[in-house]
Amino acid sequence: MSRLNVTDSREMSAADAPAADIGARIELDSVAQVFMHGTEPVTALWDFSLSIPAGQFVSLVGPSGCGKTTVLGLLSGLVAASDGRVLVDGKQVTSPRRDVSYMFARDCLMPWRSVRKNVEFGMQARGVGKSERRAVADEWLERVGLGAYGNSQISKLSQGMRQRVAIARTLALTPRLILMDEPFAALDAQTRAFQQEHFTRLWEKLGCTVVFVTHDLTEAVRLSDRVVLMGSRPGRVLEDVQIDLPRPRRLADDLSDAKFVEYHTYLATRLAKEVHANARSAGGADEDGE
Amino acid sequence: MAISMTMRGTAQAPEPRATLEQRTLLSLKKRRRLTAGQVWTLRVASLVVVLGAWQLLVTFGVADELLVSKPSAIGAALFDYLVGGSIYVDILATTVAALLGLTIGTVLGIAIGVVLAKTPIFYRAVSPYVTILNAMPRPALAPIFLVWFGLGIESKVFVSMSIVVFILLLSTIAGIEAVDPDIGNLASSLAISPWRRFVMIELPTSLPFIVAALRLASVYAVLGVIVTEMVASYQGLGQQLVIATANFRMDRAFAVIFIAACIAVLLSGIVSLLERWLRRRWYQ
Repeated sequence: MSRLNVTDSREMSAADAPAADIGARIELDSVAQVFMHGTEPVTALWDFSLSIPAGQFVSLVGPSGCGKTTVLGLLSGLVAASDGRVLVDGKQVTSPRRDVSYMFARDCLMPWRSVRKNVEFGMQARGVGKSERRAVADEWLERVGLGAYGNSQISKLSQGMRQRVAIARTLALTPRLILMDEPFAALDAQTRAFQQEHFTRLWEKLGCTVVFVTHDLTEAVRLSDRVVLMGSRPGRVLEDVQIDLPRPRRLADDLSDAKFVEYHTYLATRLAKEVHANARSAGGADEDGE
Repeated sequence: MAISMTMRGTAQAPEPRATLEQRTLLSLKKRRRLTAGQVWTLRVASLVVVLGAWQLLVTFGVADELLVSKPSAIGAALFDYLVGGSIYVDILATTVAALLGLTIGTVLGIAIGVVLAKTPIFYRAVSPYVTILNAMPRPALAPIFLVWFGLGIESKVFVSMSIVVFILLLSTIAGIEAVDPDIGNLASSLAISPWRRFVMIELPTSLPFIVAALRLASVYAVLGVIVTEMVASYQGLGQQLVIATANFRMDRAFAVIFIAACIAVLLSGIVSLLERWLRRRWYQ
């Protein structure tokens, strides 16, 4: 019950400006990350520094293999940095934190659990009691528009609905930092646009910090306060652009907005240059995955 | 929606949607009934053809009744057994031994499978032994177990169990290894405890594997018991089979085999019930 009250009051205050304690501060300080690709050591990140203030929505974009997902891995505590410091709220990340929620590209729903039990999964994994779990799950299902589907089987849902269940599961943990790895990439164009808009509405009420990895520049500019363009091999920051579009964002009219077009064109040109440079340096044969 | 509404307004309105839907449903039901009828006709017909051909071949002297018996004689032998009453001791002995072998083998197999799957280094260390033990022809153990444990129920249960345990063990390991890596990562990002990971993810994931293994094992459990009984035993259908063939009573031999098959079907049925219960318990 106390949880629900917290979220309610949060909605009120978030209407004007999100309070600082709702989002986590992030500091990546000359981080290097080396992993083994078979027997070949690969430097995914080198001298990578990035600082994100509390409550900012930041997108990481860049060509395949630029280490975007590695940054999420470091922040989640699933991967330890080879060198440098990774700080969340000034504390070095050594293991998964309770106030961080990771949302993967695939929805990771469990077919043996009902919709409600899937939303409860994260809370159950963290030992939240049954009745509280259920109340929070039902409230979030209501918010993502799936209030009537609590008892449904996962296999009965459409892709878009599945993704909303995954969002409910992520947000039900009341995270101060959300890590999202191309969460809308698997959806068809209409569904993706709808989910983006839906998530933006939810987030604008919450105001927690988001680090959002995507291939899609349109998506990055639409959703974010800031877009960080990364270059590959090794991963580093190429461009760091503040997106000064007004909030709340109504995504439907974004595409024709002159400012939106300007941001998009600038980033697209810069990204294309980087991709071409990579292709030349690799003799045009560099087409492998991340 | 909009189209059907404008249509309704016009003079030559087609069939209303409700009756159209009703008609579609009825035609589907009819088609289903027809299919079911065909399936059952074929099922009965094929049985009649095979049994009839067998009966006729023997009656007209093409096949030797002494060697292959005939359906009518087998039916009579089966009737004699079931009325005579002494066969029930053997049925009970075989059924109890198979159930015990299946149960103990299942519990052990799952337990060892979980331990091996959760300790990769230990699993790698012992996997050659697991392979060799599993490669042993288990019926060949029957004479050895009979020397060790005697002609009572123990030997049969051990042989039966020695087959079941590996079926369950290998399937349990396969099931736990089948956990979706993304779901595994999601769990790791939540700092889930090993016990919760097992109960919330690994067990539900491996359940279909375990149930499939149980179905297979329920047939093999009966096989292990029958083979042991055939080598030597005080009671059991395997022993009855040996007696029947030794006396050239092929009618009785087939009747015994039929009863043994029924026991295996019964065990499969129990597994199906268990499966349904587990699905209700876990899949919600």
